Amino acid sequence: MPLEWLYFIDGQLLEIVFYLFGIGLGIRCLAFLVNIFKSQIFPDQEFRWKKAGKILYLFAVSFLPYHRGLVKQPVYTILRYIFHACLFIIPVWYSGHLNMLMDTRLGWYWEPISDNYIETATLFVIGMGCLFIARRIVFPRIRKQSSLKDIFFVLITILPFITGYWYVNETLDHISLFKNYMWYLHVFSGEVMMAMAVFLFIRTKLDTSRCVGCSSCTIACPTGTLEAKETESKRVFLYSHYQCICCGACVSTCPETAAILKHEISIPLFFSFFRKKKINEIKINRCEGCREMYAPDPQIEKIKTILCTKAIIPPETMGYCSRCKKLLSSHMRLPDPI
Amino acid sequence: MGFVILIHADKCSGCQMCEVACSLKHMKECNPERSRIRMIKTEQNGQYDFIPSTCMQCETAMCELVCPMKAISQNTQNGARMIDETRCIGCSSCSYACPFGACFVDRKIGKSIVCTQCDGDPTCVKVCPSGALEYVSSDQVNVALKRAAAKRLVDAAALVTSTANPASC
Repeated sequence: MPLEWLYFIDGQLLEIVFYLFGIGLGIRCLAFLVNIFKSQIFPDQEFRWKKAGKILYLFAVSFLPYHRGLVKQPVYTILRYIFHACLFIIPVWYSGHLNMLMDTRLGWYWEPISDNYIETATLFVIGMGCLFIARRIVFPRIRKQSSLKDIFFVLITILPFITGYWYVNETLDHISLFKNYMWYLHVFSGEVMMAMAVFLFIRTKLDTSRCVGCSSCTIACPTGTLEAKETESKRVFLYSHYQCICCGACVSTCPETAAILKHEISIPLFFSFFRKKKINEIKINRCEGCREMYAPDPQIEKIKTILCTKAIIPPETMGYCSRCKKLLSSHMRLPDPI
Repeated sequence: MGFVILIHADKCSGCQMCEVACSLKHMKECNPERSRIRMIKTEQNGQYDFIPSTCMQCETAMCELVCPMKAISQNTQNGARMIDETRCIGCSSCSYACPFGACFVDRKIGKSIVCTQCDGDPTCVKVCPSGALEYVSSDQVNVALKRAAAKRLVDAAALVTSTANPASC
């Protein structure tokens, strides 16, 4: 490996990556705030301070992803929090990093956390990372929803911790290749992880085979990110990744367990600041009486199936809207066209 | 031992006071779209018919069966249907399943609402000026209908005798 490349890796490339990280995350925070501000979730009469308070609350709570999922999957959610917290705490409070930071032109320094705790936390992070990967391989339902990309980004995340641990404890130094290059491997893997973090999004995905189109997820969404729009016999589900606070409300509300939160690395997504993406499309039946759009087709089928399993014949009025049903049942007549 | 709101559709004058009172009491807003009892208007041969329509308190309630969150249950005291707001997710399954269209998802709160008979003292029955709504126990429903039919016969007979004219058959 030519020497200039090595000097580049722990020299200028480090500076470039830090700028990319800082500016990238700054742009994401700004895009998030602008999208929330523009969203329709605030009634017009609310005071500006109340609105600002709500926005700040949503912004703060977006650092606790999936907190609405705490009830359904408590152990997994808490482990994820501790994992993500360590990802941030370990590099910022490690004494080795702080010593280097003090020597840069910024000259910053703060009290580090003792090395024993840092080492335990590092082993925890590596262990949890392996557990998350194993979970994707072992459980069949999760395996169906996962791809190699999901395992790939967990590996990228824990590689700096593995290489850092090996470097500090000189674990592999008996192999001369690692003795010479472990430092550069560590720095480079850290740079890759930071660059990846800028383009890493957590997005809601709807399993099209399970979703019945009831749109309970759009009602539960606190930021108005997930929306359902009805056009010409179709209900279209729209989603904006920059407005999402990853609270997991849609996931825990969905009665069909069709909604999931997934990580995704994408550079084009980073640059689409305002457009909402379509994530599912459901056919809407029209009322047999007044021809107005009425109910999602898969949901009606599901209701019919439930009634049939209880040995009840679905009522003939199932295909009519609420207004027509009221008239049909009491007067045996359809209402006049509107 | 349940109670139902018995509807005498021929007495309904179409004033919509039931809708106003119901929405005011439960939703704190005068808005017929958010009322749990609705007045349906139809026209036939130039004559208007007004029919109030609300939850029929079915014995095998389809709304209860299809709710994915098991949020619909029966009040043990007066047999009225109840929807648990903390469990309801607003999926509208109950609305699609109800054969009468009585149950619906309120747009503002995003949850399903249905007539709960106001804890045994229905407001719509109290405000109806024409007596089209009657609160009777469900085993007395037949009796009330027969009484109303008998009264109509008696009134019709009285009308005939008061205008008795052998030539007007």
